[in-house]
Amino acid sequence: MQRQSLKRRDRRPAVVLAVLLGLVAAIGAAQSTPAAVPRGDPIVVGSTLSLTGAFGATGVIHKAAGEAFVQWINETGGLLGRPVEWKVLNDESDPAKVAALYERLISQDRVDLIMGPYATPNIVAAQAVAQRHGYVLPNHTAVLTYALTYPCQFPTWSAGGKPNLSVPQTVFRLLKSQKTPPKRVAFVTNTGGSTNFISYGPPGSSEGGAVEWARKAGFEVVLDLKYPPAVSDWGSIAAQVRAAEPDFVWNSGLALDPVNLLQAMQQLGYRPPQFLTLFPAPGPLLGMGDTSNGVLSLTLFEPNGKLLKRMGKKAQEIVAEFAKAAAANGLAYRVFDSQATASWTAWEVLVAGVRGAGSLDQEKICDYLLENGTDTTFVGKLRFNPALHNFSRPRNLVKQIQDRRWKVVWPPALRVTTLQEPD
Amino acid sequence: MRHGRLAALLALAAALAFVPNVQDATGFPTFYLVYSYFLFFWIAQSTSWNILSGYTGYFSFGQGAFYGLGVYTAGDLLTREGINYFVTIPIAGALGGVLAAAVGALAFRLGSLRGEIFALLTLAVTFTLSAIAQLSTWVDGGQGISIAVPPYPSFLGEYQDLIYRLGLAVATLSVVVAFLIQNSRFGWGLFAIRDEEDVAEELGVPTFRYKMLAISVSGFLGSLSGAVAALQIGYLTPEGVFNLTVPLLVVVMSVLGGRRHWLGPVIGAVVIYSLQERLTNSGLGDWGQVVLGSILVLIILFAPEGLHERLRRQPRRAVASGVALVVATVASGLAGWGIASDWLSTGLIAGTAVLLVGRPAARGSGKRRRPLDASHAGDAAVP
Amino acid sequence: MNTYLQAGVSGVMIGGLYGVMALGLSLTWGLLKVINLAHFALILGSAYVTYQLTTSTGVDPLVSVLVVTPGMFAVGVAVHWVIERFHVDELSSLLLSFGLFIVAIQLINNIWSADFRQIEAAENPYATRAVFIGDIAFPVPQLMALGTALVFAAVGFYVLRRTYFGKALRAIAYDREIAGAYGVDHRRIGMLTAGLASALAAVAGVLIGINQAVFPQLALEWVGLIFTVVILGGIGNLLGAVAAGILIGLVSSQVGVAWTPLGAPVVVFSLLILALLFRPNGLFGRLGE
Repeated sequence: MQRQSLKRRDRRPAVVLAVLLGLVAAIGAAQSTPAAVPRGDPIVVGSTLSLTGAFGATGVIHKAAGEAFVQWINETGGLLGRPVEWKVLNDESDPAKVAALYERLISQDRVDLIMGPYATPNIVAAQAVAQRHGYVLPNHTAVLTYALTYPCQFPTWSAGGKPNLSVPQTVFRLLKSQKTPPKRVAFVTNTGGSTNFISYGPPGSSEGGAVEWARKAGFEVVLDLKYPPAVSDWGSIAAQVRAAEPDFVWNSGLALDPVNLLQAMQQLGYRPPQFLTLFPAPGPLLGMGDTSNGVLSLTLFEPNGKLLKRMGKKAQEIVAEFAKAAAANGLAYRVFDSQATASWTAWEVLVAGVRGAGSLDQEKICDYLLENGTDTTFVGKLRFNPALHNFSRPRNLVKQIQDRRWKVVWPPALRVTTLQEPD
Repeated sequence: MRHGRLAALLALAAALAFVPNVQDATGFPTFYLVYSYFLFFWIAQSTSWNILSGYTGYFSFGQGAFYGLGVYTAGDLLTREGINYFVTIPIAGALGGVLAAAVGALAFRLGSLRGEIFALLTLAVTFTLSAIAQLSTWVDGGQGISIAVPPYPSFLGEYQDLIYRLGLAVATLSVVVAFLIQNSRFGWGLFAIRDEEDVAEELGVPTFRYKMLAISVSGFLGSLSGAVAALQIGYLTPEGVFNLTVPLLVVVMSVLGGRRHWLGPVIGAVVIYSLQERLTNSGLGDWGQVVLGSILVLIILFAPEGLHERLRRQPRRAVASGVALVVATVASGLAGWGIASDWLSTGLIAGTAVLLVGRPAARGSGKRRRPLDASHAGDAAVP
Repeated sequence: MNTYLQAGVSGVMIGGLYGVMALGLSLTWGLLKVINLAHFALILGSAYVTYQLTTSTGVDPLVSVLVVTPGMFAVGVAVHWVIERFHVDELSSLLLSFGLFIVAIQLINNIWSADFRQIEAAENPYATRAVFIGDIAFPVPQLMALGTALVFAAVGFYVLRRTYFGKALRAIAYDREIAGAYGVDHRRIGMLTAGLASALAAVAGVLIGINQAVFPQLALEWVGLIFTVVILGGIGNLLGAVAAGILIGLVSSQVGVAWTPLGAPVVVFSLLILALLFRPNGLFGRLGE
């Protein structure tokens, strides 16, 4: 037996041990060192939100999302090493006020950056001010794509540049994938802005929308009903839907429309075999119990277990942070879904633009974003296509209420469960 | 004296027209131009309402109809028919006058319960216009109308300068008209109608003609102001344009300011708008509206005759109020509470508060509880 | 044909709800010469309380009536006391109530946020139920509203015509000084009436809370419609208000089927204009005239 020098033999395990210890120490040090604390003058982001008035119920979601984001970014090193401060004013759902307030934020308060308000009319009003002063305008909820003509506005609602085409395409693909696809379709449309647009396309153009494309896709349109935004008598609408005997009801509706419609139909003892609604208030719909089981809708993202797990820890933390901010703002429904996702993504776009440009120069930010697009946590990679008013490729997910929860059922690559087809 | 005052008004307006040039030179924030535009807008709307409802006593709920008609006329003619924006403004005014005349022709002829019916009719007209805007795709149809800035002569300045000047022009026109009416035989006739219409008729006042003229002027000015507003709003929707804000606020402003005099709506508009702005941007956030509503309640309770009446009848209190205004403005400026417009707002609030404290000047002068329709007081029948 | 019938039934019953909402407003406007915009805030507030009570305690939503009615009664009395104390006239009462309305809506917003609030299906036994006669459905929440409207209107009619209180009230409405000479204390009767009107608003609020989700902006959506109901029915005419509500509901529904729901508001408001021109006292006459 060869006897090696004791020292040498003893040294190797010692070295390994030392290296291992060193590694452990290094890892431990990395974890326990907090992310660099942002310091210096805060970067002020200015925006308005509809915290009261017609859009109040959804505006407050964006307030929560924004607050969660700002807290997040300040905990993870800030922007360009500086803390971020968000100055949000209440525009009371009035486009006239939006314009005045953005003017104030930009020319009076001299904010460094701006973020878009909620809902198309307000976004268009803000756009005019942003364009005048050359400020980049990331925005989260513009569906009326044809009105967004400013080259430096960056939208994150991912229905694409022509939602009047992409949304029907997605839905019809889903329907045709069923064992027995529906044949008779009833349209019930809220004639307010975005829902009107998706049903019928832009005014004065032949592009058409869901109704026309349903016909082209071979469905029989058995009802094409329009209702004004503030309807109080849903009974007569429900009666007409029932009389039309559709296989599939497409409700281009907003907020409480589907709740009211489904309830009115239930009161008549009628349930359509399938029901889709575009932009519902998700909470109240879930609260309907059996009445709303199987209802379909669109989304940018749903924090379903499997999907969230795939996306990783960061996404999970964000979802949890949002729930806290939502609770702090008194929201009844605190799930991080479409609206919150769009909001968070818009903030990510803003931050990516600033970091990419390395400065707060609006022109550089705009150029950077146009050239490079950006990666996002929840909706993949965004590329801003100037030919389509800076909208990226459409990414419409379809979700369905199953067991009192919203679950993504389409497209196949992103779904967490299969579509519950009508019996 | 009248000519002197008129000349002073016009001179003031002319001077104000150059403020945007001052802004260009000194570089103070363009926000003040937008802020001023809103002051002009509310002055125009309140004055327009007051020419009818204040001077004649025929309370109108329908300012929203004229405003909305003006906004959409300008918006539709511009975007649907490609008509030059500056041409759409007088067209809108004219249509407003026509609508007003139509309403007047119908309402004033049917005499039985004049006052209240008229108010309700104007309200019904507003609802109907709103419903039409929702229904007709030419008018709107629900998708909304995007108003891009139209081409305009460059001497008018940049966009903020443009709306400032347009707003100033319409406000000046409204105030001058109200001033002229008040100091004319026509105005005297209107006041007579307000105080006691039957007696006025006996005295030979052509009540029907005068009322028609008053309402037409009111409609014209309201729609004119609306047409200018279309440019500022940027995106028109039926719910946004035809909501209750305009009809209710003009009443608040005119009542607060004083309905018997052309200065009343001006004071009311400035105070209420400044108050609103101060509260929205004060950081009070969720409590801003609570404060606003409470102040409104206090004003109604303690100064129902309006601020202008108080100023007129209690000169010493008026001076005290002016002092309070200046002191509060300077103090908040030194303390750095917000921005310049906020200091002014604080000053206005302080001045108003001083005016409000204490009992109304003259009780019993029309403070008996009277129903909306003035005619009812005339026939006191024994049950 | 069946569609028209069903739609008509729905329309009539939702018209009953309009009627209940309109009763209190009509009462104070016609008899006390007070245009109370805050009425809508009271309805909404009651709906929120209904929601909160049911959601927190699981109790049947109708139980809320016991809570909100006395509460709103007190509020109505208090507001009227202020109006009397400060000699507020009709126009000023509108502005005063507008101020109160703003305050109330913002308070609701602060307490419950601007988000939608809805009683969960599990705790709301009424929302989706209906009584069936043949094929025609009579939804339960609206049925309750219609029944309430008819009962209150009938009771109100009886009280106003046949009891001392009612006659005294009408006397005050016509000429307060002379009524005073006959020994009628307008202050107390006024407060009682205002309280009753607010209690009616409370009941309307409970019915709303049972029937739909609520949010702060909702109160503003009602103003145009309910004013129309009050005016058409004849200001101060309780049975008229219910009848007008039913008529409006019926007409809306039929227009919605025959033409389009988008056209219903235009038709209703045009009818209102016509009615004002040819029957200025409302279709069914004002109180006492």
